[in-house]
Amino acid sequence: MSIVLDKVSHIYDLGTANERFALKDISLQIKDGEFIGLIGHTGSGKSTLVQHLNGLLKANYGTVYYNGEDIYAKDYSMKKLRQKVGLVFQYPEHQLFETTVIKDVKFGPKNMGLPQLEVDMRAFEALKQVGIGDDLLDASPFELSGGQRRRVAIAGILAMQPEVLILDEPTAGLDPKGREEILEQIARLHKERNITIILVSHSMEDVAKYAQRLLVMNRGRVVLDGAPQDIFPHYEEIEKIGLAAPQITYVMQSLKEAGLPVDTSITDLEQAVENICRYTKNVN
Amino acid sequence: MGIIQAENLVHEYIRRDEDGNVEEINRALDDINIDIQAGQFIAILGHNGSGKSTLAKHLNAILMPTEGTLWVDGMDTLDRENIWKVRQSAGMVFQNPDNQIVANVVEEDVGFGPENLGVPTEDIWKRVEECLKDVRMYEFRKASPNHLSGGQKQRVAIAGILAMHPKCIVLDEPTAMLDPVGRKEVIKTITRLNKEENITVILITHYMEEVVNADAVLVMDKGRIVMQGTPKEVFSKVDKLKEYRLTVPEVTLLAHKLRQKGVPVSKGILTTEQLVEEIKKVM
Repeated sequence: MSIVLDKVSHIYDLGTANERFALKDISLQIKDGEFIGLIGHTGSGKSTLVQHLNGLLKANYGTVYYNGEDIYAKDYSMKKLRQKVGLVFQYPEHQLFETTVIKDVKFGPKNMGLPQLEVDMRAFEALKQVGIGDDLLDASPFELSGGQRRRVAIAGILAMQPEVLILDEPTAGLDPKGREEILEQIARLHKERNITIILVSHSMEDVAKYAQRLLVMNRGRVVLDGAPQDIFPHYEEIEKIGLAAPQITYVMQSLKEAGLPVDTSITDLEQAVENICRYTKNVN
Repeated sequence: MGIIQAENLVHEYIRRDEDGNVEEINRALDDINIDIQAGQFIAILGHNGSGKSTLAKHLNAILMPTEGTLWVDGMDTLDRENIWKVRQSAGMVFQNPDNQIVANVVEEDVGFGPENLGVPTEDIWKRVEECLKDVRMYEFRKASPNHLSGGQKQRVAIAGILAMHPKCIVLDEPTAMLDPVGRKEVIKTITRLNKEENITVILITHYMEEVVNADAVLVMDKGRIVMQGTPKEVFSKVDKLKEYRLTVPEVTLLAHKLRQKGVPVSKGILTTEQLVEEIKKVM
């Protein structure tokens, strides 16, 4: 069970003077249950890539396989694919349109043609998963805070019970606590239900903390693919393509240059504290 | 009097039913008193819904006080005659660059503001050139904004504000939608405008690292200013900030945790360089 991209290319404005590759010859495999961080500067092709995974955009060259099936095959059901691969766009709260929270979340499963009881159960469960309490079920989405609205929008996707959940910058514009809440909930979904997560983010701290595997994009290609601890020590390389490493990486790197034999692959705060403490004179 | 002064400023959002009866009153700003001096770099932090953006909209006379008074460059914003002068004195940059660009060519976009102010044509072009150079976007003057990155678009938006020769720029989460390099470009640009051109900067952000160079940080909660001080003072109160749904820069948090473990580093460390210097002393 997996998503496979086989030599996928996507060209915008094909046949015009502005023709350009948005994706160029991308081949990769995303396995079941992975937590992937997708990073790259604005315009590097991240959003174009994720829209290929649920068939919203079609590759000009190459093919996408979902669980071994060619999604471009004639009899393949794109509708089913989109239920299995849920995509949460940037600022998803702009897409809330129903009069109450619960109605909005029910919209997806209802459209799937599920029985009423199943629709209700899924909607309640999805809202619980994102930490929206029963007291808010009948509230208008417009009465909620920004963070709450966003979680309702994510619940709308979860209610379709996707196997893969793609989130395009789910924390943009949220305060630090709101960011943490959403990411913790995504991490819990990943752990408890083994959903494959693809997190598109501009926050290197966030992907370092949550993702097991990073895909780094530049100019429509995947230029680095590996675990965060293997990728961020190459911070000079990723700075060249418009990104940065987490702040912890820079601290560890500078300490090493200053002669402290610390582990420069650490990006996690607690690990950094422990590692540094080994080499300093502590008061207690 | 400073360039921006608020005295007992209150703003209430009032919701009415179909008959015009008051249904709900939401006090978004509650007794705000501030005095910002010309040339300062002020950062405003606060969780979503704490009142930051409401305050910002007052600085630009998009919203008017329900109670109290706000003076921008000495002008009372409640006085309708001042409205255009207020907006010229305090320019505003918003979160989404795509919503603020109006023209098809970069230089025309920057010229839009001064043209509306009735500035003579030769002066407009002079201003456009100066402002695009100020934000390091002059080489893109003939480009279409569609082909720019988020950080570049945001710098064009800043140039568009600069072209109206404001004394003060208010930026409401200008980096929320940008990648790391775009974020750095924008912060570098506004820091330079503040230092070199002496423009007062008011920066609203959720990224704690962006405010370490500010002269003062204001923290808002429930429409009130609940903390204020230098970045060092504010960020040394890690636990208190967490109560307000905020955090501190990662380096500050690392230093804080090292202190708790008994590594003798100072309080309120803000940058990687400071932390490394402190640790070197205790290796």
